[in-house]
Amino acid sequence: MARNIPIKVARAEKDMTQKALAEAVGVSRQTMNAIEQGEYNPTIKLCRSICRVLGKSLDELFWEDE
Amino acid sequence: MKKRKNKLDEMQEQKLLHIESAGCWIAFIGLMLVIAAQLVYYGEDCGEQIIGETIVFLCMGCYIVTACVKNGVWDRKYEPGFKVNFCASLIAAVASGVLKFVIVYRENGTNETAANAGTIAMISIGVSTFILCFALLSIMLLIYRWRKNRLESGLPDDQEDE
Repeated sequence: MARNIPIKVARAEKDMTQKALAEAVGVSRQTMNAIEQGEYNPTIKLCRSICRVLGKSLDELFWEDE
Repeated sequence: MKKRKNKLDEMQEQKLLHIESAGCWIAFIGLMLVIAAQLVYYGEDCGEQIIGETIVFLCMGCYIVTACVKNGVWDRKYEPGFKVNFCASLIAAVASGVLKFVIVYRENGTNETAANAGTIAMISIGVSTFILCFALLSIMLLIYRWRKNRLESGLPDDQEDE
């Protein structure tokens, strides 16, 4: 699975650390790091929480171009 | 009693499930090996000594099979069918046959007579295990297919289409 760069960029735009984002969506930093590294596939529920906190759409954060 | 809130997030929950699953299989295989080792070491008169292990082993097996069939799950890698049932029964038959041979061979003095007695016991146990396993797997397969059809036909989309 490819690394999720859009989340990292969106997080930087909001000036949020991985820990702050993890706390905002209610997961551990370990999980947030695994999502960004492409090591864990989050559920749609968690994807939506991340989008809501970062103010982005699902497509912007989770759509992978072929 | 107040139910405690889950302190794990979804990834940690998945990891915990993997760990528990591995622990379950270690216990399952460990119990099987311990029962086999005790049968070989103490002979067939060790019924009282292995009763605890056997009960736990059977409970685990029954739970896994019942839960899988109830949820319409058969196996990760193998398609349910005659061939898989035949192969699984054959493996069980060979394993129990070899185990029986070793027990009889050890109990009868490890000579030629013991080997002959062991071979007869191995064949009879092997054949009966094969028949029993194959019959049980076939019954489970029928129940699994019935359950799977029932689960799939009861989905909301189908009801809306009707």
